[in-house]
Amino acid sequence: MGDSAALRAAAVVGLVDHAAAPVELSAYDADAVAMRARFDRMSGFVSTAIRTGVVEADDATLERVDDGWHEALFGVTLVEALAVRTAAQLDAAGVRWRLTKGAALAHLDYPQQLALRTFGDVDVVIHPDDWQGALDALFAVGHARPSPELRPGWDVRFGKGATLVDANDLEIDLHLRFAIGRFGVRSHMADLFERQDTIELAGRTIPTLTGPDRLLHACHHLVLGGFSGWRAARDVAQLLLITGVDWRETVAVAQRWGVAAVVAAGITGAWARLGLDVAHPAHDWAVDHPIGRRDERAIEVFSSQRPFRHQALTAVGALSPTRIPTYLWMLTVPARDARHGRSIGQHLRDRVGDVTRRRR
Amino acid sequence: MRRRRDVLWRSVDGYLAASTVAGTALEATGPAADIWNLLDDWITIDELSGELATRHGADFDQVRADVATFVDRLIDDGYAERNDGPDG
Repeated sequence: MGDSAALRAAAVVGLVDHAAAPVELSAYDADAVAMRARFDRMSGFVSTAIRTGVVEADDATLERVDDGWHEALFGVTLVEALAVRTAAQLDAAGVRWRLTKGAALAHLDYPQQLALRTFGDVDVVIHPDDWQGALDALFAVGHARPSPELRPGWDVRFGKGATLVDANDLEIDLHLRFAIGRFGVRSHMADLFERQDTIELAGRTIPTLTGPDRLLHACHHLVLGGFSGWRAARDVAQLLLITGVDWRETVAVAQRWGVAAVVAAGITGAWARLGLDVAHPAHDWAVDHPIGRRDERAIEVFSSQRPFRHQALTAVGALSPTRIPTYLWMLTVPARDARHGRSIGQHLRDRVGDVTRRRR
Repeated sequence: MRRRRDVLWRSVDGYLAASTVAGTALEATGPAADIWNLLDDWITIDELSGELATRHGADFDQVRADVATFVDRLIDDGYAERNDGPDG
C-alpha cells in the first residue's frame, strides 16, 4: 500500500502541485520502493520526492534510492555515447532514422528534470526502406542480434524491429513499428520521416521524432509495451502537461493509421495510473473516444502480458485476406535460427496448439 | 580549461557521471561534481580553486593541489581541455 502510494507521489513530482499530505514510508515499504524504483528507473523521481518532502523516509532509504539513481545516471552517459556512435554509423550509411523514447524524451520533454528521466538503451526508428542498410551498418561495427528474424522478410512486412547489442552488452532497439500485432500492422511508419525535431549530443545533431509522434509512441509503449510502469505513464502526461505537444496532430495520425484506440487508452491509462485530477482537452477527448470491441480485446491481450504469439495473432483481423496466410506461415513456422534448433514438427505442434486455444 | 563539448554527462547533488563518445566513463562524488559544474566555461586553475575554497571554507593551497590532480586526470582522459593561455 505504502509503496505504490509513494511511487505514485514520486511519479508526479514536478508535474502537479503537491497539496496532499506527505506519504510516509515504513521500513518495510522503503525497501520495496527502493527496489521498485531501481527496476523501473524511477530512482531520480523518488529521490527528489524524498528531498522535497513529498515522501517521508529516513536517511538510509534516501541513500539506497540515490545509489540506484547514480547507477542509472552512469548508464545514461554510456547509452548516450552509444547513441552518438550509432548516429555516425547510420548517417554514414545514408539510413533515414529518428531517435525516440528515453534519450529523446529526456532532452526534449524533461528539460528542467533532465537527470530524473533515465533510460537504459538507445531507441531508434528506422525507415522501412532502409532497414537492411541499418542492420548492415551496425553489424559492420560489431553489433550482434541475439534474437534472429522470425523468418526472412518478417521484420519489414510485419515485425516490430530488432534489438542489437554491442560488445559491452549495451542495447540498441531498432524499431520498424511501435508494436507487434493488430496496431503495429496498421501503422504507416514512413509518415514519421516527413518531419523531425532535433537534439544535440556531444556536438552532433540527432534527429528525433516530433512531439506529436513522441506522444504516439509513448501511448503505444504504455498500452502495448508489456511492462507499463510508472515512467511510461509519466511520459504520456509529461508530453501533454509540460511539453504541451499538439495532441490533435497525434490523434489525426492515429486515426489515419487506425490506432486511435491506443492513444485514447494511453491517455486515460496515464491519468488513472498517476491519479491525475487535471483537466486537459486531450483527456476529455480520450474519455469520450469510443473503443471498439476488437480493439479493446487486442489491448487486453497486451495489458495482460500474454505471450508473444498471442499478441502477434491480434494482427489477423487487421490484415487483408491475401496477407493472412503468409503472416500465419511466418508466425507458426519460424526459420531454423529462430527456432533455436527445435524441429519444424515440434514447432508446428506448439503453434497450432496456440492458435487452436486462442480461437476457442 | 573547460569541459569538452563532446562529453556526455549528468551531475546531481555531489555526484558526477561522464562518458566520452568512445565509451570511456568516470564516476566521481563530492567536490568533483562542483569542479565539473565550474568547468562549464573557460576558467583558470586559480579561479576554480578560489571559488571552491570560498564555498567550502578551506585552505586555498590545499584545494588547489587537489583540484590540479583531478583536472589533470580530466584532461588526460579526454573529459576537459586546456586553452592556449598561460593559466590554461
